[in-house]
Amino acid sequence: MVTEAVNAQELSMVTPREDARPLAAFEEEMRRHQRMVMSVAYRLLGSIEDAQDAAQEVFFRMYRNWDRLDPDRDAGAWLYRVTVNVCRDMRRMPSTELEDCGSEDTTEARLSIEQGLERLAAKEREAVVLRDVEGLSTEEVARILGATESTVRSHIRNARKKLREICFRRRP
Amino acid sequence: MTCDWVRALLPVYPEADERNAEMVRAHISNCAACRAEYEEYESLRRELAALPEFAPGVYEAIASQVRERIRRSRRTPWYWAAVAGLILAAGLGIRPAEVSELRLAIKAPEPPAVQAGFRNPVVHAAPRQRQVQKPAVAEPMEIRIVGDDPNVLIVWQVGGLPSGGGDL
Repeated sequence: MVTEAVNAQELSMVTPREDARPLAAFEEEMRRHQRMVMSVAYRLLGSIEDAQDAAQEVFFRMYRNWDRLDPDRDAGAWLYRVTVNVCRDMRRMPSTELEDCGSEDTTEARLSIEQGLERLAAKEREAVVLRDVEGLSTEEVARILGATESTVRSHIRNARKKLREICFRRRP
Repeated sequence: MTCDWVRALLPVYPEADERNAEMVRAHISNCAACRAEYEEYESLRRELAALPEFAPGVYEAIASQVRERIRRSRRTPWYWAAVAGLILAAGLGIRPAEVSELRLAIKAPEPPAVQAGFRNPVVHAAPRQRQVQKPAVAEPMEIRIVGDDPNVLIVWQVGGLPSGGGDL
């Protein structure tokens, strides 16, 4: 992929937009949320390279929806939702090589958290990552995932129980 | 409070209300098995929250890739017109070696007509003129491809996208 650096000023020169919101604001918003998007994507995908691809897609979608995003509201919740969606799509793609957990491998004293997350159902993984990695409230997680709070609570409880069983019960 | 009750509560211990949390704390201070299970949940929570150190340039790399995608997504109509012109030239059999000059002229057409030069000057000694009615467009432009043969002239006239078009 071409990675020629183009700064925001150059972008606005090449393609003047009729935006009410300048590209500099987009850049600032992107920088502000990069770490959050990367951490969620990394925990959902289990690989830094995949997380980087996901983050790129997330911010490109933010750009495409830039005019529709309310400048007076934090884009965080919207970005969480988009990040979860992008990661879901990437996990469905056959080209995304997710790490094999090595189901027969009993030489490790315990499995890593990445391996544990990999074995959860998608909704459990998403709920527990948003809750325990990002520290969001159950209400926020429910809003992002489009689920009820009781469903999210159930996903989180199941995810934690399974993670413990997976990670601590595979001793040689 | 029984061990079963406490173990059912441990996965949701961080969300437990103060009364339940206090009962769990009291129980695990006296029960080694439940305390061990509690420690495992705590260990997992810490691991989840602890992220690897991403390489120093990772964020700048993401930003650069996003900027590049934005730049590509917003290429202006003349860029695609030039690409189309080159494809047309290739389709007409003009090999790169035959092209002595490639000029891309961007200007308002005057008059709004398409001239077509052909490889056989006998058949088309007088270039045909044709009036083209175009809808209102932004920044119409013209691309000329000149080959070694002075009888060969390709004029590719393209209107810009309709006003408001080209949005993502």
